[in-house]
Amino acid sequence: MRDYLVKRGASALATLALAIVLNFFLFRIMPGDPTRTVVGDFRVTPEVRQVLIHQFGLDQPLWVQFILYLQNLFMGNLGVSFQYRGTPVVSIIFGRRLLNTFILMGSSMGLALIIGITIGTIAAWKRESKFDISTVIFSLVTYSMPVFWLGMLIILVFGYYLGSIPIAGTMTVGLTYSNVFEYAADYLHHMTGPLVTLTLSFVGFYFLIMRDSILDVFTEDYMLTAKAKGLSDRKILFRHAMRNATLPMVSLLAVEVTYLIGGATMTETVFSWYGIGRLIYEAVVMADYPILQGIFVVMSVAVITANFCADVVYAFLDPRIRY
Amino acid sequence: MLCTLFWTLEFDIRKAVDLKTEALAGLELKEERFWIYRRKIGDFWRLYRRSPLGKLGLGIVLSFVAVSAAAPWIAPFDPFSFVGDPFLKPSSTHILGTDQVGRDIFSRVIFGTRISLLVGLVASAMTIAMGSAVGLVSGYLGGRIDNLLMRITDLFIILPSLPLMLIMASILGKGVWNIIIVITVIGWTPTARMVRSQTLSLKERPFTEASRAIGSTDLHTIRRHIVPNVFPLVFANGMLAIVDAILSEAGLSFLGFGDPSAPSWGMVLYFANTAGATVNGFWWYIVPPGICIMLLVMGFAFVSYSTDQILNPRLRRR
Amino acid sequence: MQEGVARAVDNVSFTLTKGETLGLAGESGCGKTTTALSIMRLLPPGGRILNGKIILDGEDLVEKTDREMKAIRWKKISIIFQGAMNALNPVIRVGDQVAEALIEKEKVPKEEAMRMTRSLFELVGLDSSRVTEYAHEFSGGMRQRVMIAMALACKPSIVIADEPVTALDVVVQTKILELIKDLQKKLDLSVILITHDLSVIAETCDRVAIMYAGKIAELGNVTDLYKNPWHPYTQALITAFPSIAGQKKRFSSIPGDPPDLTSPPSGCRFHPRCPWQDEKCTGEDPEYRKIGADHYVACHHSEMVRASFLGEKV
Repeated sequence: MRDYLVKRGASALATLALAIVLNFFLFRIMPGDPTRTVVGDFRVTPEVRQVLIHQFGLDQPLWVQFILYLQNLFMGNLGVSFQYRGTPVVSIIFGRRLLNTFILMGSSMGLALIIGITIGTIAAWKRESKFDISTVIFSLVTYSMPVFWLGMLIILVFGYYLGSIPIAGTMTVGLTYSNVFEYAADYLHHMTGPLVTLTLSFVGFYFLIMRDSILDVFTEDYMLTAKAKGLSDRKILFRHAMRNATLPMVSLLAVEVTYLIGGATMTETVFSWYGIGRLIYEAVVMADYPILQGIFVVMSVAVITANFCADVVYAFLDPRIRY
Repeated sequence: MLCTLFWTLEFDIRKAVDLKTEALAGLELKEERFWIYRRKIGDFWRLYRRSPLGKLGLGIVLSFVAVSAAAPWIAPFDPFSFVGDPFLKPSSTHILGTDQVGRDIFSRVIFGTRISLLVGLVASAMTIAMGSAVGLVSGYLGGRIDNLLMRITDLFIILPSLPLMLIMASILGKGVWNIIIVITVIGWTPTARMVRSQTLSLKERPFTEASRAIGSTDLHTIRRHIVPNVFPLVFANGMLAIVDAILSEAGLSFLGFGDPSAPSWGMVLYFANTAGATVNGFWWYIVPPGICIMLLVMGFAFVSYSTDQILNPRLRRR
Repeated sequence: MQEGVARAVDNVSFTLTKGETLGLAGESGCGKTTTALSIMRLLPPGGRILNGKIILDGEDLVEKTDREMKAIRWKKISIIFQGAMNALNPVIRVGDQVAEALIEKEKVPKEEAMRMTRSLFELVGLDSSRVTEYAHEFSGGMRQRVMIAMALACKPSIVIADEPVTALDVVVQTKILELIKDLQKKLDLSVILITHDLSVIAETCDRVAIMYAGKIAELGNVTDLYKNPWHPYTQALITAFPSIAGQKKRFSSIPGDPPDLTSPPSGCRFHPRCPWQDEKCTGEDPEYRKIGADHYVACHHSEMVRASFLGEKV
């Protein structure tokens, strides 16, 4: 197992290195004035502009710039934002927003996983039944819906027509809270819309994959053995089939986080949820490149690490790799 | 997958000997290959026709294609002209009402079919082409090139596509072609991975060795032996690529990167959103374009599913 | 590839007495495994038992509900599959899989079950400390022993062994077969042994049913059959087997292929490959009839066939 992990770790680091390099070049291939990346289209005073240009070495040859970039990177300096007038990018990213995104993404992924796995297992067992067909259709439908449209529909139905959920933000503006619970309640109330949207848009995928995986497992010989033993349906399904079927899902999970981030970005934008996804959108609209660069780096690190963790978890779950 | 390969492989091996001698007879060879492919396509179609989901999907897709072709005749108004008061509710003149500047929404949705469909098809075609090319080269040549390409592929697969697309789009700017480029550049990697692994396994097959043994060039081997065996896989995957492309385009347009002069469904929704349609309850502005996207995606998804069922016999076993 | 309905098992009938080993022999696809699975009502989703009775301890298994079958499985009849590679769940420890049978079916508490598992391991010749390992850590022969241990956990009266040694090399084969025979005596089991290998049958079975294309061609005592075959197929199988002691002669194989069961040949299913075939064979399915104390055959020309085998004149 150690060899496996070392190999995966080395691979992860190499990919990370590549990401860092890519980040550098991506923002320098822009058409037009190369200083745009760092200094932007904003009207910054010429002195500040000069300082920034010098700090990011834009007056230097490319390879020097690259060294400076790396230096800055390792010192945790991701540049300063345009739209927020000089606030360091790191403080913008690693703040409230990150937390909000984590909470939203984490809960929706968790919910979607639990629901998808359980229902997928049951649907596979009751193959071709009404339950199976209806859940498959439901999953295909939600999977085909664009996330942002689903969000809009939810706002329309539950926000406009039923008035039961707030349609924007993480909390009611101007309200003061007397205790933590009130605050949490308001927060969760605001999170309902984006949570439901995100969960719905992902549950279909997990469901279909799990169902597929279990159907695959059903063709394995050990399932016949389990049946021959005269075990109860539940035992066969949840003890023998599920454990094997969830293995491919774990590998898929890391990939899924990728799509989840995309979905979260959309959802946050539609619901004005104060998170990283929304930040990306705002930064794109305002052409705030330092933030985008910073996000690219943070995102790469996060995703590569997540993948590596998934590899580790998989190694623990599958005894065949363990030895 | 293995069965498909043997199916095509059988043809190849049996014909390998004949074809070599008939290679000199040129024309005969071409004709024979034509009939082989035609037979295979015929078989495929026969199996496909049996699947209700596949027929439904195909029906949906073709309907949309028909609508997009007949758009000028079906749409009551010009999608760009201001033909009425803004924010009119649905009526007999304006089936879906008007948008914030007085354009007929129904016509815009009809014409939107063209853009959404076109971008979806073009972007996915380019994505597959690029992905296949990289995958073939990488798998066939192996070594350092393979390593490097795979590392790049891994990176793109890992990174979240939407944020990446947004970042690229912010660099390139608005426009339909920019969207297509963005989708292609970020979307080619899964295809590359898949084609590469397929190529790798095909490389080890006897018929590849045989081909090289009789002195074919690499290009020839790739073209004649590897490509036909990779093709079914790519085709099934292609449907999914179309789905991805359509959804990506819709997303990017919704966020404002589309071309106002070429409004796709995503763009209609973008205008809907900026006009505050959600908070004002203008369901007629919001629901139809979304349903179109959803149906088109489902259509392609069904086709993909049915194709996969046929080309991947292992699934049939269940 | 075609689709259609195949009669995998047609009019197969036999009895199994306590303590005996009955062999089911035949080529791949002749219906032996299907017969075994039918007994335990383990047919795959596309399969159905059309008619017939399976009597165990005075009760008809075909009539039983799913729930009742679950109770019977493993307690009264258990099965050992071929190629225990995949027959054991790769992510659960083998000891747990064996103990599972005890815990779930015999309601034995966990501690006790593990103890019993360990002694079962010893019984089949495995080191009892290996109960904590996983399937992939065992070799083929060892895995088969695990399966045997598992199959015996609930002390069934009948054990079906479906190609138990086919995937193993010859040396291990002998060991496993000896183990099965040994256990059979010790525990007074009745065994149905399924295989395509006649030498295995010869070594382990008391009686054998030779199956072809879903039907029984011949059924009888092993010694009788091997010395005195009445069915052309049986004959062909026996003569196809080279003997060290006998004369040096050429390999004789049976020409042709087993039939497609969705559209079997008319009349006797073996007739396309049979040297004695005539119009009667093409037109009429031979009757399965008794020709001796415990000897049945389904062939129109069995007397002729037998005589020719014994070198007598017709």
